[in-house]
Amino acid sequence: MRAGRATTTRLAFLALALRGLLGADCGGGESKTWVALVPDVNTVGTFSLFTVDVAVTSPKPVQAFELGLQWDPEMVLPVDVAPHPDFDDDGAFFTSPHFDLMAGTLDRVVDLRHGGPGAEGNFRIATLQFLALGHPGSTIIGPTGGGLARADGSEPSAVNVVPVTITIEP
Amino acid sequence: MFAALRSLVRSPTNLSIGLALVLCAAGASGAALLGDLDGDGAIDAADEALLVGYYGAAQGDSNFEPAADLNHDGRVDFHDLALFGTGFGATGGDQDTTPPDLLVTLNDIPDDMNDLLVVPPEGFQITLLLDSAGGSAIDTSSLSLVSDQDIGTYAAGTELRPRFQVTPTRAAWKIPAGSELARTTHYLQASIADVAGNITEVSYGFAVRDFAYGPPLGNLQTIFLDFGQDRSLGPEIDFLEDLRSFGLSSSADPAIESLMRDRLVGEIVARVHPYYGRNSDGSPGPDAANVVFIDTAPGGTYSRLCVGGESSLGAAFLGAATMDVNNMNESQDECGGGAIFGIFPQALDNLWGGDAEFQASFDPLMASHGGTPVGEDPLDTVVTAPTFDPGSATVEELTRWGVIENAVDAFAQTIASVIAHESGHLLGLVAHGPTPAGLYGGTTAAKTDHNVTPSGASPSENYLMNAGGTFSFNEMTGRNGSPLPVFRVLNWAYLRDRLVLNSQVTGLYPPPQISSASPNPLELDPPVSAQITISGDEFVETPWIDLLQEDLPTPRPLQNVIFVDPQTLQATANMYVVPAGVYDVRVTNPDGQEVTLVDGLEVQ
Repeated sequence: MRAGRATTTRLAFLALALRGLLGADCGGGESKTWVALVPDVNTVGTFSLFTVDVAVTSPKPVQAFELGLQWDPEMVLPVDVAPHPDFDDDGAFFTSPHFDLMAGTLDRVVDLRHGGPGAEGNFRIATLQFLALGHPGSTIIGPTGGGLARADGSEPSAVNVVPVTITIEP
Repeated sequence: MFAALRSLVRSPTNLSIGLALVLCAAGASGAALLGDLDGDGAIDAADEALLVGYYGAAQGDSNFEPAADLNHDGRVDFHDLALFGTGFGATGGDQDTTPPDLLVTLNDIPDDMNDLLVVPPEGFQITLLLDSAGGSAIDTSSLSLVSDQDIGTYAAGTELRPRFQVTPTRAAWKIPAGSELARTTHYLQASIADVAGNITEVSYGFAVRDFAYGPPLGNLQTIFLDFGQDRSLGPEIDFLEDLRSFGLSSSADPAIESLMRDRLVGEIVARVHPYYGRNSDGSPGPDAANVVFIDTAPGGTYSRLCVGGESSLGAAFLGAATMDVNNMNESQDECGGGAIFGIFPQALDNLWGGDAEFQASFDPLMASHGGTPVGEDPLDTVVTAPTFDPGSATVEELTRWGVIENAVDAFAQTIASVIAHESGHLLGLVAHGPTPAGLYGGTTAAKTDHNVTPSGASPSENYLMNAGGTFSFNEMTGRNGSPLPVFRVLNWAYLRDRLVLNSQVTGLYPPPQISSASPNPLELDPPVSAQITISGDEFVETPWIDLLQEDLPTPRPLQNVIFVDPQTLQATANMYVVPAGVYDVRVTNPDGQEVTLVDGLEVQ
């Protein structure tokens, strides 16, 4: 349980840092690559299901990715993760994602585009479904680790990461 | 809660999606395709199924497959997946016809030194090094290895594959204790295939013999590092004079000086142990040599190595110790000869005084270089105290503390490296000449007793037993990207008692066989002596022939042995050496292999 609190704290710092990055980019810099969690709603009731998509904005084609996520296991519980058809071309992740429900982490979310061009512009790469638990309050779900790779195996020079804050109401 | 989780993962049914794509895509012809892991000339679902098994592995991991590391960065990850995805669907590539590389060796000894190895009857390791050779992935399930001799309970010809720990790059099996292999020549037949079906077969021979004088480190060897002698410098003990020379202590503050002496001695001993596979406190790691280092005189048997001062051989001599092949003397004293033997820190300045890293480490403390020795700065009482906490220190304290810690690290690590090197000599490194009599130790000039390659050159790797003059300061201290020195694999096999030094073994001969001795019975007295002919096979010029009898305390040798051919020996029996009776006849080839014909000769 203590680990869950620590996770939330770390993510709060991450969110603050990203807000700074976001502000700088809005000033009119060159196109950058973003990985953001996009909720269908960001205010949910206790014991309700909600969906979070992992969205990418990339000016250049993305051929493969690996992604991790973390959350506060006292606040939310993941119930599903699936590839998103924006990116996925065969209905399956490359390998089985790995959940650690006690630590509140998900890793090895991996997928690739089979031949042809990669995905570019705005697209989504994965969809997660969570259950809000019985503790009202705010919690952050954020990406960790992994990365995006282009057709030649290289990574974008900088990827901005945006977590999402979920408010759970009684 | 786990049951609530669902995730979509690849199943056998959706492999067909990838296959369909293959039919639609056209690829370049006439070249191997990057990602064609099964070598069939196409990048398809079958390759993807293989790639899944390697995903996430890094070099050194059990499932790391170099063929799947498409960008050659030592890791199979999403970067490789992107390259794979880009090429997915390509066809028309070359079919892989390149067989994988397979090297059979013992104890991981590399290819240039594994031609003629002698190992003890147990405890050594059979190693197979695998490489896809730029072709398709290794099919680890195809590995096969059989021996022409029994190995413990495994009869000759038994498939030994289940005994091995197999990865795509390596397979190994440590011959377990009690296996008691026959003291003869052993041949292993090994084969491996890649997933394209290319097969490589290898035959590898080695010899098994007992240690002539027991294993070199069969007993725990204790080495007493004596920091308390005054052999070359005055008026204090040499090691204290060394610390003053490098600004690591000062007579101005006896309390700090005493503290620094104890600190440095402790640091040095703690840093020697890891070279021998031990933890800093001397406790054994998972693969530790049977040797420990201490800084106080122990009871019992031990060797002594003095540390401190300047060599009487010259200012550039950092250390000297007597090479003791097979560690025959477990009570060596390397403090004698005036100050010829031992470790001499004074040479550090002579050897590396012009080195930038050396200067950065010691100049701030060496009075002769304008520095302030430990004990002469007002902050030293604070920053050398065992209770000093960098987390709550002032900037000035932190700066002084950093200077001292940097110098302590440099001095301790360098002296530890030298001690580990000289102790290697004391344990038998590096025995002269090639295996099996030696360990590729040099015999000329500075290379004498030190590592050389089979061609006689100094190794380019940072091996601990390389000739002393070949090390840079960074190599001794592991700084600026240079790894710390390590024992060469061949040296380590010797230190772990996994290799036998044996000058008798000059080739991989089969064991001798005896079919008869004639005339039989042999009549003596008269005549006083008579010739015997021994018939058999695999005799090697020129064997010993002994007659054995339970009632006789020692074997009775035949004389004037003549090697006629590999099937025939002639020798003379003398009535004064061989009294009447029935004897076993034993033939021992020069390589130590022997055969006994029970009750093979009656003397009348």
